[in-house]
Amino acid sequence: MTKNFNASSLRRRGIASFAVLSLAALGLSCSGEDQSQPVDEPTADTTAPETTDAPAVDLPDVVVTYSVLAAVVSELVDGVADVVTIIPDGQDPHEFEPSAKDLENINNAAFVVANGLNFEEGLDEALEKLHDANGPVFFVGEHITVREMEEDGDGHSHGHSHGHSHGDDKSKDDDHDHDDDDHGDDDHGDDDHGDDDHDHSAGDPHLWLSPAVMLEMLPELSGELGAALGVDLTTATERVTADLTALDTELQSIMSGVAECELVTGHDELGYFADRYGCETIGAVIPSLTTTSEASAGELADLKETIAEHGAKVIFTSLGTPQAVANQIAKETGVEIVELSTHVMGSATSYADFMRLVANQIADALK
Amino acid sequence: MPGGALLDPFVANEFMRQALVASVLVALVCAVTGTYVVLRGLSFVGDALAHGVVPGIAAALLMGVSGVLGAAVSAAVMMTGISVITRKSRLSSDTAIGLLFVGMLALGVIITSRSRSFVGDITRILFGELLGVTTSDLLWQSGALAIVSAAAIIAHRPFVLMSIDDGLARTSGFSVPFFHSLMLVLVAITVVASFQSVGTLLVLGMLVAPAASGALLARRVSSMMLIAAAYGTAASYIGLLVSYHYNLAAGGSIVFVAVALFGMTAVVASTVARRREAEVPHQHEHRH
Repeated sequence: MTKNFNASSLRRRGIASFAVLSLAALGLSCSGEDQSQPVDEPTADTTAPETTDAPAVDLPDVVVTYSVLAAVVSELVDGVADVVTIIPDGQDPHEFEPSAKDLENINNAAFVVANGLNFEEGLDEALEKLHDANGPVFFVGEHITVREMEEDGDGHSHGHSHGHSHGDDKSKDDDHDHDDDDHGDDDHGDDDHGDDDHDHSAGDPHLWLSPAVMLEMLPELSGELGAALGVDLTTATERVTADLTALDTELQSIMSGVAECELVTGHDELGYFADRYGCETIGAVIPSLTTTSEASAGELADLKETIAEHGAKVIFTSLGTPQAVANQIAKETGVEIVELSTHVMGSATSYADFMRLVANQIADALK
Repeated sequence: MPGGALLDPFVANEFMRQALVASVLVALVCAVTGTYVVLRGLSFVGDALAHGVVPGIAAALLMGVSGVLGAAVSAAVMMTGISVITRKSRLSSDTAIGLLFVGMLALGVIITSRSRSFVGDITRILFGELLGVTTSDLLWQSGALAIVSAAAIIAHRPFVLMSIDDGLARTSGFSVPFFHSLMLVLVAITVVASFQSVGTLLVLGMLVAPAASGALLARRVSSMMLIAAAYGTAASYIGLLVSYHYNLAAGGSIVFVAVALFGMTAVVASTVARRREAEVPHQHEHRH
């Protein structure tokens, strides 16, 4: 029994549909927006980004890896440099892979500000290369008190802080051997990192979620940034310091309205925030510092127990949290899902806006 | 208490029960399609389809359309492309499959990388989200199982003949190109219906490993399918248990168990065969 599958009609139909669909697919991919474009991040008083009284001068480029950090850096270099953000706002920085243009931007920048602590996993190699060649790159994680994660018997991670506040003066704790290549979920082949200790595979990278932490690194950032750009950033630094201090106080008051702040999160992202504002992370959908890990059945069952024990009412998800899994757990435990914008600027126009938004999302959900 | 460890995870957790149902449904549909994949040497094209649906899914999700629809379009494009290249040029179907495989996968990578807010990523398409399976996913899979089983029953005779020899099928009056395409369509349906829960790579594992075990142990196609179904179900259950107790990825555990079961079967089967051969002269001696 044969159907109308003769060769020539199939060929004609096949070529036509194949061509149309391929072109459509290519057209689709080309219609997406450019990955990295120079962005003049609006400042707190939202002045028009490009127009000033001065004639159009080609300002040097300061490259920042992700949007939230870029918001802080923009306030520092407003008017003296263009801030270029590599990872588009809304893409998961834990999973981002750079294009050739991104790498070009990194290598040609007057200065690069990165998070470090294995946050921008896809950019690690390029940043390492730049660092090894003594290029102008600043890893924020090297200039703060890092939350170190350690596992207890059940495999739950707890964080505690070690003093790592000075970039050059590395006062290492004896318990943790940072030169050791203990890269759990890290699969970078070249593990030869000379003197640097910004390669904490167990250090919490979510440092931008606390203005106090940003304040820690600010003096050194503005020092190195100013030197690279050949400008004096003292006034800007003082202004940003005052703003961040005020923001910190504001967030304290927002969070003080929450009686018992226990958080169930998408992944281990609120460590610095929790430490600063009197909260505790009791569990996560993906109990890992990165979104690239997969949720496991045993850990999800544990999470359900934890939720029941603590009487938690909310699961806070964020960018990169597996929605279907979170929904299923929420359904089985009868809790609500609230999405946090911890990794995304979104509609926030400044760092202060961003932090206020996150704090209010949490405080409102826990009232 | 051993019984507790084996049943409790499923009794206490709805997500475990749903994951089990999803993977058993996959095991059943793969037992049918997979038996023919193994018998007719279609695992390469099966693998190609598992990757070839990626750009379709990526594009569909970008446009806000159902991923299943995108996967179906993608699979259709791929199969048409393979067919066109094979007929229009002197290249073998093996080369054609290879070309389409990497071409489609590369397109998928490009589409995903241009997206600003791609919900989920290639890893989740390839490995699925077994622990987040929804009731609608289960309905899709049940539907696919029904369609595939019906087609396999209707086309049973030509399929079996083609598994022995294409010429045999031809002389019995069946159009080999048509039924070959039909078989590929069934593989595509299997992949498309299952990727949301178990991912496209897991589907491939479930297509090949349990059916390979069936082919080792049986000679009749229907028996092979039953054995494949049993093995697939066992792998799902054991794999999920292992993933639960040892905190391992669910999808990966299931496929690994399926392959391990095949390995053990192969060892046992060859040991039994060797022993039987050794016994035969012995028996003859005892008879006299």
